Order: sequence, then structure tokens, then C-alpha cells
Amino acid sequence: MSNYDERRALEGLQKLDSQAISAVYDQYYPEVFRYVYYRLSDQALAEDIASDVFVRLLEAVQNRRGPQSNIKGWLISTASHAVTDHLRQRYRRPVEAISETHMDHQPGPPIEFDLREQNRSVQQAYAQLTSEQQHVLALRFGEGYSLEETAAHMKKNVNAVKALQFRALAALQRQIGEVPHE
Amino acid sequence: MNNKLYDTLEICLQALENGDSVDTILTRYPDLESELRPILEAAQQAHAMPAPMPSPEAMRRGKARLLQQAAEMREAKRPTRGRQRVIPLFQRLAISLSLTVAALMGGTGLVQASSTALPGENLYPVKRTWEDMRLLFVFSPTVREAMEGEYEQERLDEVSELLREGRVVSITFSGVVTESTASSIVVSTVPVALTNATTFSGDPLTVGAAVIVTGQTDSAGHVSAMAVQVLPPGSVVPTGENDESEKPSTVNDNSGGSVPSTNENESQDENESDTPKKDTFHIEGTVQSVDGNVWIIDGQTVYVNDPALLALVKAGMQVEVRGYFTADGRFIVTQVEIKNSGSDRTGTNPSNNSDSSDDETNANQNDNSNDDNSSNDNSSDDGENKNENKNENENKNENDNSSNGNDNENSNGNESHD
Repeated sequence: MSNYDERRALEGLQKLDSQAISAVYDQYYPEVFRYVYYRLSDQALAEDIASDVFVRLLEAVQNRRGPQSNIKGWLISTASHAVTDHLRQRYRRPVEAISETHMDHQPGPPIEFDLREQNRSVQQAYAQLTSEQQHVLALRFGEGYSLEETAAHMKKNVNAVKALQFRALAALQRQIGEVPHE
Repeated sequence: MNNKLYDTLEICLQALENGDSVDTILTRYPDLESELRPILEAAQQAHAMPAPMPSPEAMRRGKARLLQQAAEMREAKRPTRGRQRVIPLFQRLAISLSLTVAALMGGTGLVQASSTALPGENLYPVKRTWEDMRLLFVFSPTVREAMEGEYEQERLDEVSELLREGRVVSITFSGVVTESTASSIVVSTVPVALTNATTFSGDPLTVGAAVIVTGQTDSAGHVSAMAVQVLPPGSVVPTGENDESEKPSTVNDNSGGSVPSTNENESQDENESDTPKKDTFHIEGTVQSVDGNVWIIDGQTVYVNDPALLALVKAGMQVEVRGYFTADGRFIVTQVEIKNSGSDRTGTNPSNNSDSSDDETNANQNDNSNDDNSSNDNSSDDGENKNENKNENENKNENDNSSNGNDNENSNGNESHD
């Protein structure tokens, strides 16, 4: 972490330097993965999409459309678009209910089972939110961004983010109440 | 109202983040409890959503895929780089070529102006630099040698011009020693005065030697030599002007009818391929040795390429030979006049000589004995005749003979034309 230099990393990406690419990947992949997972609640899918995001980074830098300074912001933003694209495709071609495919059905102790059930209902409720609401909650609760960081990332003012997160949490609460309990 | 709610929510979220319970937080805002409670409970659940770490295997796989992609991009980038380089390289070449051409074109006037410059003049360094530059870009040894010879000849011409104008300039030139006395030598037609201060280096100074002379021209029309360097045999040096080589001989006493003019510029031997200069010189003396086609006459080595001449001379004979110096300084014999053979041959009859000398002699004899036209036949006619080949000479002899109705001269050298 201490050896990581954002400016050198960008120069290395431009030159397709393997060391710099590896450093950027090691530095940011977990955060990108976490964000995607928060949005989709699917480990394998989150790993694939996160991996795609880094390939897009490489291509963008080579085409001079990449980040100028904030690599992490660019990665999260691209991950957000990638998730949105994925969700659109899934909505167009629904295959299975999320509960059937992505939820953890491994047997375990009753307490853990309750917890998993609770998480499942929250995830189902979360999946019903708008993309922007999902995004603000993922940033604030998944990535741990502050209000100001979230505002900067979403290119909104702080008050707009305050209102957005309020509405997102209210919507989530409503959806949780509507999720059928087994 | 909403702004107050949003601001309060943010404070509550930070408290929740710090570990406070929802109930504890809401006790601080009793008037907003009904609105905030569901929101804070949702936030608590949102915060509690699982956030697993990616599996190491997935990370490794993702990184390998990324590096593979980078490698492919590098591969794809290489030809692009090549093309990008080709253009600047071509541009650089084009620019260099343009500049060179511009420099050469721009410098043409100066170079042309310097072409007639003589040593000591302001433009003379330009002339020499231009010569060096031309040599720099010549890579063919043959062409280079020819150009060097041309420039050596140019040095000789410069010296001649300086002497004609009576200028006093330091010069260096090379040539062949054609005459030599104790106090002077003639180097490829340039008279060179030797003084006590003249230094000599290299081989012994003899007639026929190739030399480099360093000295000063003077108003008296000769070069005062400061140094004379004798070059090793085979050195290529200019032998002197050949502009007059086509001139017919102008001196001919013709009294004996047998002795051709002295030092006339004759074209002696058309079969001699390496004869860039055909100024005729003569050497008189005793034949000290005969070794194949190499004779030594009073210390001077001469070469005989005509087989017909080889049979004429033996060691001990007193002869006068005529010939020319080749570019490498060798003296090639084209005429032999036996002054005193020490045998049954009388010395002054050169009738058995071959080549043009035969014709010349034949013509003279024909003229003298049979022809009543004039005694000066060999002045112009012979001069032309000397430039003809052997067959033509034969024809001329035949014509002469037939016109005279006299075949008594056929015993002359015609049979020597084998």
C-alpha cells in the first residue's frame, strides 16, 4: 500500500507495464469486487465483472479515455455501469429467480440460517431499488464512503446525496417489508 | 423540514457507524423518531449486508487475464509503433536529403567560382575542400583512383599556370622526373630548381622516378624545391600536359632522313593500353643489361612491350630510345636507334624498328630516295601517319612503293610487322 503511487501507476498503465498493472489490480480489485458484490450479491458474477472492469481500464488508458488522477473513482464508476448493463440484460432475459440461483442454501445452524434468511430478504429488497438508490447505498454502506466522498463520486452536491440516501433507505425498508418470508 | 430530517439522518448514520444502537440514537431526536426509525433500521440492515472478500483463485485468474490482455495490447501496438517510427525516419531522411541538395545547389556558384582558383587565392581552399568532399562520396576504388589522378593533374596544371603568371606561391605537386641535372630537374614538364636547402627523401632521384615536390614558384618560371620525395615504383602520378600530344612534330632536320624529330609529341603505340600520356622522351646511353623486356640504359630502367624491338638490342649497344612514361612512372620504349651496336649493324639506321618508327623511317626513306615532292614529307604527313595503326602504315608504304614503281625499299621494316 505504502509503495503504491497513483501517478506512477497511471504512467505504467499507459506503457502497459506489467508491474504497474499488477499493482493497480492488487490495490483496487477487492474494492471493486465488494462494490459489485454489494450490488448483485453473486460471488462469481462479482468476480467476473470486477475482472472485466480492469480490462476496460487498460483499454481506456490506451485509448486516452482513462482516468487522469483518480483510478479508484473511475473503477467504481465503470463497475456501476457494468452492473447496470448486467441488470438490464437480466431484466430483458429473466432466467431464474434470484432466490433460486444466488442465495446460499447451504445447511447450517439455525441462527446462521436465520441470518442468511435475513440477508436474503434484504438483498431481495435491495434488488428492487433503482440503480441510483442501489448505487448510493453501495457506496455508503458497501464501500464505506463518507457523505462528501459519495457526493464527489456521484457528481452531486451533498444535500442531494442526503436526500437520495434517505429515499433509498426508505425504499429499502418498504421492500424488506414486502419481501415474503418463508 | 426535509432538510432537517436529512441532516439528522446523516448524524444518526454516523452514530450508527460508531456502534450506537438505533434506540439510543432515537432518544436524541424524539420528535423525529417516527420518521427516522424505519430509515435507521434499513440502514442497519444495509450496513449488515455481507461483503465477502474475493477468492484468491478468482484474483489470480483475473490478474492473469488482465496481464494476458496487456501482452496482446503490446503485441498489437508494435506494428503501430513501427509505422509511427517509419514516418519520422522518412521525414528525417527527406529533410536531410533536401538540406544536402539545397546546400549543394546553394554552394554550386561558389564551387564553380573556385574551380579556376590557384594556390594562394581566397577561393582555393573552397576548391580543395570540394575535391575532398567529392572523394568522400566516391566508394568505387576505380573511380576514386581516376578522380585522384584528375586532381593530381589539376595540381600540376595549377603550378604551370602559376609559373606562366610569375606568381610566388608555396605549392606541392607530384609528377615524373623526365630530366635531371645536378641543379635542376624537370618534373612532368615543370622545371624545378634544386638548391642546397632542398631535402631529398625516399629512393634515389633518377629520371623516370615519381616524385612529390614541395617548394615555391617564382617569377623566373620555375619551382624552387624545398623538398623532393621520391615515391616508390608503381606510384601513380601525372606525367604532364598532354594537350599538345596531337600536334605534329615541328622539328625535323631530315638531312639524314633517318632521325625523327626530337621530343615531338607522338602517338607511338596504339597497342599500349596503359598510356594516358604519350609525350615522347628520349634516353641515350649504353645498354647495360637486357632481361626479357626490361632494359637498363645507363642506370635507367626501361620497358619494351613491342616484341619486334626486343630482338634489336643487346647489352653493350649504344642506343637512343624514345618512349613515354606511363601513369605509374615506367618508361615504355617505342623507338630504338642504335648508335653503335658493336656489331655488323650500323648505329644510325633505325630502319629495323617497328611500329610507327618504321613507318616514319620508311616514309622518310621513300621520300628521300624516290619521292621528289619535298624533303619535308614527314612533317605533317608523317605526323598523321604516326597516329595510324600498323596496317595503315603498311598500306601507306605499299602506296608509296606502288606510286614510285620502286620496290627496293621493301626490305625496310615492313617485314617487321608481324
